[in-house]
Amino acid sequence: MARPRILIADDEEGIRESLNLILGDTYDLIFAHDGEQALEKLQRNQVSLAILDIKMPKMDGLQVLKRVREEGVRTPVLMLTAYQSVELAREAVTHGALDYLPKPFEREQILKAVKGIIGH
Amino acid sequence: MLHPILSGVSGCLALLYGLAVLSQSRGSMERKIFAAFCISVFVWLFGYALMESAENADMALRFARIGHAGVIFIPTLWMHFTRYVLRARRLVPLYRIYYLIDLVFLSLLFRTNVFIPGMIRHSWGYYPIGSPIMLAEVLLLAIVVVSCWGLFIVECRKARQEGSKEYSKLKYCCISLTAFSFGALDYLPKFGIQFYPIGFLSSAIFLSVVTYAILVHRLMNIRVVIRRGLVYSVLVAITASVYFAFILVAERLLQGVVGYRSLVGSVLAGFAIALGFNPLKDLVQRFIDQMFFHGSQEALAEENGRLRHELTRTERLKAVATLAAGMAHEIKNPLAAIKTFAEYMPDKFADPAYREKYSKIMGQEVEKMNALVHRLLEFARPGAPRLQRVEPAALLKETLEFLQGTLVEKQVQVDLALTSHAAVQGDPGQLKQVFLNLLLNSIDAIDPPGQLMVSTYQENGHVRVTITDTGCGIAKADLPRIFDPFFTRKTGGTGLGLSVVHSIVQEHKGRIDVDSVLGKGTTIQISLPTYGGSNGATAHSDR
Repeated sequence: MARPRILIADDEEGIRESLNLILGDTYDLIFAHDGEQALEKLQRNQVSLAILDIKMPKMDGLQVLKRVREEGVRTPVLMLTAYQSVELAREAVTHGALDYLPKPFEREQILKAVKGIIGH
Repeated sequence: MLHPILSGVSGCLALLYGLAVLSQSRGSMERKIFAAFCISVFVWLFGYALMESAENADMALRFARIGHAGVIFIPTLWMHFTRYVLRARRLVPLYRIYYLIDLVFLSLLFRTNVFIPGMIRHSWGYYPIGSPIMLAEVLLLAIVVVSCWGLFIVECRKARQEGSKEYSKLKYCCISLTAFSFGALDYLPKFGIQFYPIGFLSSAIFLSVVTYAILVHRLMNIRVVIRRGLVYSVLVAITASVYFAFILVAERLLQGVVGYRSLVGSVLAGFAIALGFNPLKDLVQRFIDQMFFHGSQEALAEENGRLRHELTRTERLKAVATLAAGMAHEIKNPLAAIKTFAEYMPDKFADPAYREKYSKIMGQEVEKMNALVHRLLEFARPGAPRLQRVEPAALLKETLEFLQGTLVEKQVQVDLALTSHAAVQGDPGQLKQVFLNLLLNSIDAIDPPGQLMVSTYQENGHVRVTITDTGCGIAKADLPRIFDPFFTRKTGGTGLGLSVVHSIVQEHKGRIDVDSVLGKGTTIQISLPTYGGSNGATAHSDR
């Protein structure tokens, strides 16, 4: 059985690599460096979950979320946020994101949230 | 003879104050009413001066009526004035009623003998005889004095507790109102009690203090006028007193002895006054300066200093709060990475791929935090610039060369118009950073391909550097905030670049102006004073 695929969109290499460490062994990961790439990859690929950073170049995570929802893509979305964008993250939840995770995150917190959505 | 003169001088002083305040009223009701009040006091004192020195009782009565017309309006105008100073709206119905009563009094005063039934001659001259209506007038005055005094005391205490700048003004109003209340003693001789009328004195003190409070605590430029007015009024009063004392002595003592003629006495008095006038003027000037102006000026300067300090502190606290919030945000990304990599170390240490990534990511993230700390320090304390003679045009060229790669990559064409090579007094490192930050901002704002215009010119002892881009521009609403630390609309921007630019330009006693049209582009102009001031600068002037 194929491993579930997760899209990770963050402009920070450190964050992408960290999530790779946490999730890479269990899931099939694809990465995006900015909002536009994230949107494109979400449109082209079947993914079980998208983890979107809020603050990204070209298009922020919230805009990506709104766009995919407008296009009818129902992929579950988790938002990542640092201190100042908690309000934005809340807004994201109202736009259909399942949850938001504050930075810096805990390994267990990520695993639990992802398992809760994907189911295994 | 002396009393009418003092009254008259005091009345003229009131008129002078009234006109001074009126000329500076700038539409303020408070000041207009105070001016009307002063004019009432003038009518009272001047009318009474004429009354006291009148030749017969009929003429005295006529002047008494004119003078008393001023008296009638004094309490009402004072209440009206209080309403504006203290913004006490509850006084409105009360002073309206008072104005109506005043009109009734006024018609009784001029049309009947009910108000002033007759005149009596005292040692200082003619004086009106009191009446029951005058008693009612005293009662109305007492109500005004007590209620306004109470209101002023309450507000004065409140202002003191709140540390409000209104405090000084209110304090002077309280003092002066107390002084003015003594003027009510002038009613005593009207009711048969032999009491020398001192209303002229209390009104002079009162008006000086209130006018001083109004003008000095609100408006500085009239101070000189008032100060001169005060000095000369006191001088006129003193010299007139000296003159009349001299005449009196001459009349009484010398006439019988040496066959005195008035002319001789006047000439002698004139000599005495001429000799004494200047030293006396200096003395009075010094006294008045010390009493009213000098001390207060210091107090005012101290107050201003305190307010400035408070403002600076508030601004700094606001900036620190923004810095802290921004820093927390910027630091959390590297922290998340460092934390995760550290967590996996025990399990993954044997994995060479992990170790390779670990060393790369750790180094990268630590470097990011280091750079952030540096930028923060630059913002918080750019340090006193090490000033030397530098040419902004040369610095701009160097910076643009440094950016050559980026300019090519982003297809940005640069138009250089360095018409001034004049030097400024500046720190080359810091100024280079200013230009670098501004140019990078412009390049970032440009959606390739684009244009960048960089020019220098000299004007009014300043070198002006202008950087114009054809970038996305800045929204009007954002313009006032662009120099705030951590304010950014750029994805991936830290929001520190322009605040660093701003603080460096300020350190260089320069100025920065921004003009931007959303979707069209931005122009930033920096003006820096030329090296050696406006004169020295021309030595390295435009080519």
